[in-house]
Amino acid sequence: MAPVAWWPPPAALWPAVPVAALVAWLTLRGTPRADGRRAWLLAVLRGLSVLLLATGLALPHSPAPIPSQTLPEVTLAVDTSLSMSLPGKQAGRTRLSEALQALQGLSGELRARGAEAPRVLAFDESTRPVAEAGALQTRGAGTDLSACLEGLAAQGVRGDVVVLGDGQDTSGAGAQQVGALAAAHGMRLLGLCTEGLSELKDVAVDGLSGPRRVRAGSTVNLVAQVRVRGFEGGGLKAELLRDGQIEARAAVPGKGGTLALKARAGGVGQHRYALRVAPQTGELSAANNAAAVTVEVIPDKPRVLLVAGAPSPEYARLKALLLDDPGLRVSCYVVKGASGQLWRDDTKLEAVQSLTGLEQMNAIIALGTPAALLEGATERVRGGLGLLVAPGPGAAGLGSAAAALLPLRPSGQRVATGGVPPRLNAGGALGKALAEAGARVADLATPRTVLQTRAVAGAETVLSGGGRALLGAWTVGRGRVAALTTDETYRWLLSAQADARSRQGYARFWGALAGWLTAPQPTAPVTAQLDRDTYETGDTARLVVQVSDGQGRPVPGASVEARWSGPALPTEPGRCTPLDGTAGAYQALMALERAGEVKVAVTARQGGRLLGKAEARAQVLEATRELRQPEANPAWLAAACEASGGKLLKEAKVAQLLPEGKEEIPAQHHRAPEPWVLGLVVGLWAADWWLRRRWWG
Amino acid sequence: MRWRGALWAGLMLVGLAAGVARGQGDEALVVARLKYGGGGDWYANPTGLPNLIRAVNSRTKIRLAPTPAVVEPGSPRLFDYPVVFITGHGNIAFTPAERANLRRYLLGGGFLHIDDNYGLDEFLRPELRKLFPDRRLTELPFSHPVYHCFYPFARGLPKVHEHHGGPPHGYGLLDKGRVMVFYSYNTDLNDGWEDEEVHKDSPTARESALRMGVNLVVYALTH
Repeated sequence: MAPVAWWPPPAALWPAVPVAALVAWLTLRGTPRADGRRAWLLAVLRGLSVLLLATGLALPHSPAPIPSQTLPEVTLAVDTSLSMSLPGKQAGRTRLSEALQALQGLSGELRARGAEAPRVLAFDESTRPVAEAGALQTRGAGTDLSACLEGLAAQGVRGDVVVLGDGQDTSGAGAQQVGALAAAHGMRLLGLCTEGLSELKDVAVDGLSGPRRVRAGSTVNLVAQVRVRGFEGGGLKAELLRDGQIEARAAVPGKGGTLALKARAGGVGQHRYALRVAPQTGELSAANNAAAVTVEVIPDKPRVLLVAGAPSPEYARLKALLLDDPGLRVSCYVVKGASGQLWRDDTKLEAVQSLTGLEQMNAIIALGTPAALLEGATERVRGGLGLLVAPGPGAAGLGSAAAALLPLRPSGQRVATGGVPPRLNAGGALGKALAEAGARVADLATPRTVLQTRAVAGAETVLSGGGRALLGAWTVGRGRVAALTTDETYRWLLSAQADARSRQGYARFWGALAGWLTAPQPTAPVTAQLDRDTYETGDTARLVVQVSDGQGRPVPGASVEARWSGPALPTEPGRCTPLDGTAGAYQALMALERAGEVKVAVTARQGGRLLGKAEARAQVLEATRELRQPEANPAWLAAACEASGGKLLKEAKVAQLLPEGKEEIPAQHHRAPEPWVLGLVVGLWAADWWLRRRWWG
Repeated sequence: MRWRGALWAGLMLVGLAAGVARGQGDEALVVARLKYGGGGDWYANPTGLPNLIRAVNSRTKIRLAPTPAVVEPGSPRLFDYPVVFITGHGNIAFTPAERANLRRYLLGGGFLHIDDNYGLDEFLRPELRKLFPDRRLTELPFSHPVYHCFYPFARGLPKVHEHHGGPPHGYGLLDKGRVMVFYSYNTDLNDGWEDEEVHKDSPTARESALRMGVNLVVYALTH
C-alpha cells in the first residue's frame, strides 16, 4: 500500500496561523509589561500550541484521491514443456514464442492500468519464477499444472492465474481435478491456449507391448500401435530392433493401427526391443516415431547332462525318467564301445576326450563315468554346476577325478546291505528336499549292494541303509555335489516288490535330486540394479548395489565404485554411498541428459580385497511424453479453467483476461491528531501554567 | 595238524571264491533265457547266448556274466535280469500268473528278445496278444534306434537263415516309445550266434547276427 501522508498540504496551515497570532497577542496584553521577555515566552508557547492543535484537527481536503487498495494480484504462468517447442499458428514461430507474445501484451496492459508488475512463472514438471521472460526456453519433459498450483498455494498466492500453454498435461491429472484444486486454494484460472497448426502431419508409435519375460530360445511376440495423420497414402515402413540391431521390417497400414511383430528372444538377460518409423518430410515431430519395451530372457529349463561310463539298466531307467520330465532339458551321453567311444544318444561322437558344452549345463549326473570325461566339470562345480556321481560298471565311479569334490569317498569294495530299509536324514538341504518331494524312502527297497565309503567332514549323509551311506551331499563353492553309493536305484522300478508306490518314490527321489542339483545358485556377492530399465532425457537414474559375503550376509563398509558409460556421462568412476537403513546396500545417482544406452559397471572391495563385480543396463529415450500426441488440447485447458470459475479466451481478446477486480477509491476520512501532537499541546499548556505560578504566584 | 592246515586252506579258498563271485555278481549283469511252458524247446541254440555274451563283453563297455541264467516267466527272479531271451521252434504258452509277472517285468523296464527259430510264430502271436491285449506288434522302421544304437543296420535285420522267403522282419511291442519286446522273424538270429560248426553259417552271417545281438543288448541297456 502506498504510504498515507499525515502532514497536510501547506494550504491547510493558513487558517491556523492568524488564530495562533491572535492568541499570542492576547497573552502579551494580559501579562505585566515589566516582564517583557517572560510575556513573549508565554505568548510563543500559547501560539505554538494553538497552531499545533489547529493543524492536527484540520479536516484534510485533498483534491487527489489516496488509494488504499490496488488491483488484485495476477499471476502469469507460462508452459515451458517440450510440446511448446512445436510450431505455432504463425509461420516460423513456436507455441512458446506465441505464448510469450501474449505474455508481453498482458504485462503491458496491467502496467498501463496502474497495476503492479504481475508475478511471472514458468512451469513444466517443475515451477520456477521468471525474471526475464524473453529468455525462456522449453525444457521440461512433462507438464504438471497441478504441481504448479500447489506451489503457488504454498506461497499464499490467491487470485487470478493466467495459464499460457497448449493445454497438454502429462501428469495424468484430470482437468476437473486441476480446476477444483485451484478453486480450493482461492485461485481462478484464466486460460490462453496456443493451439499450433490446424492441419497436422504426424506419424507416432504410440506404444510397443510385449511379454515381460520369455525363455531363452523362444519367440517374442510384440504388438505396436501406430498413428498416421497426413500420410495416409501409405508406403510407410517400420523397423523392429533388438538391442539396436534390426530384427524385422513391417509395412505400416495407411491409416495406422496395430502391428503384430515377432522377434527372437536373444540370450539370457534383458533385451530392448524398439519399433521405429523413419521421420517423414513435413512431420510435426519425429520424436514420437519410436517406442521401446524391455523383455527379460530367462534361462530355459534347467539343463541336465546325464553321462554313463557304460550302458546299464540304471542309465536306461534314469534316462527315461529325466527325458520324461517336462521341466528339464536333458542331454544323454554314454560310453558304449570297448575303446571308450562316447555316444550322444544314438549318435557316435568323433574323438571326444572330455565333455564339452558344460558351460550351458546346470547339473551333471555321472554314472560310473571315466575320470577323463569329467575333467572339465571340476572347476565348473565351484562356479555353480551341480554334480552327482554314482558308481557304475564302466569305471571306478567314485574314484574319478571328481573324487576330491565328493562328500563320500570310496573306502572299499561293494558290500551287501542286507536289505535293511533305507533311512532318510531330512535335516539337511537335500534331505529336506527329498522329504518335501514326498520321496518316501520307506517305500523304497535298499539296494542289495553299495560301495563302501566314508563321509567327509562337513558332508551331509542324506540316505543310509544297513549302516552304510547311500547318498551324501554338500556344497563346493557355489555348486551342489552329491554322491550315490549304488547304481541299483532302477530296482525301485524293476523288482518283484516294485509297485506303484516304489515307482512313484523312484520318480520323486530322482526328481528331487535333479531339482536340488539344478536349483538357482546362491546370490552373487555383488548385484547392481537400476530403478528403471527405461528412462527419458532429463530423468535421474538411481543405482542400488547389494554386497554380500559368500554366505549371503550383507557386507557393510565396503568400498563400492560405479563406472557409468553412455552418451554425455562422466567417464571417471564414482563412489556409491551407503543406503540408509539397509545393511550392505549402496546407491548412486546419475542425471541422464542424452538418449542412448547406459551401462554401469560396479566393483566392490573391502580392505583392498575384491568382493565382486556386477553390471546394470538401461536405455534412455528422448523425452516423448510431451510429443506422444503433439496437438494442442484447448478442451483440457478450458475444462480446467471453468472448473475453477474462470474461462478460456481467444488470443484476440487478451484484454478480457484482465482481472475483474475494480479500482477502489477510498473515501476521505478524518485524520485524527496524532497522539504525539496532542501530547505536545498538553505539554505546552502545562509549561505555561507552571511558569505563571513560578513567576507570578 | 595236516587236516587243520587243509581246513584253513579250504576256508580261504571258499572265501576267495565267494569274494570273487560276489564281486562278479555285483558288477556284472546277468542275462537270462526264459524257460517258458507249452512244450516248446526253450533250450534251443545252447551256444548262442554265451557267444553273444562274449561279443557284448569284448565289443562294448557292458559287462555281462559269461553264463546266462535260466528263469521262468512267473518267477520273482525274472526281475534280476534286465534282458531276457526267448527262442524255440514250437509251442509257447504262459499261464495267467506268468503273464502278469511278465507284464510287470516289461512295464518296469525289462527287455525281452524273442527270436523265431522257425515255427514259433503261430504260437507266439496269440500269447503276445494275451500278454498285452491293448498293444499290437509293430514292425519297426529301419531308422529305429535298435538298428543304429551300436552297429548300423541300414536295411534292418540281417538275414541269417531262410524261413519263409522274403525279407526278415523286426517287430516291437512298445511302452511310451521304448521297445520292451523285440521279435525277430524270418531270420533266426540265435542260429547266427551259435558256434560256427553248429550251422556252418558264413562268417558274414554270423558276424551280422552277433552285431544285431549286440545292438539289442545295447538298446535294452540304454533305452
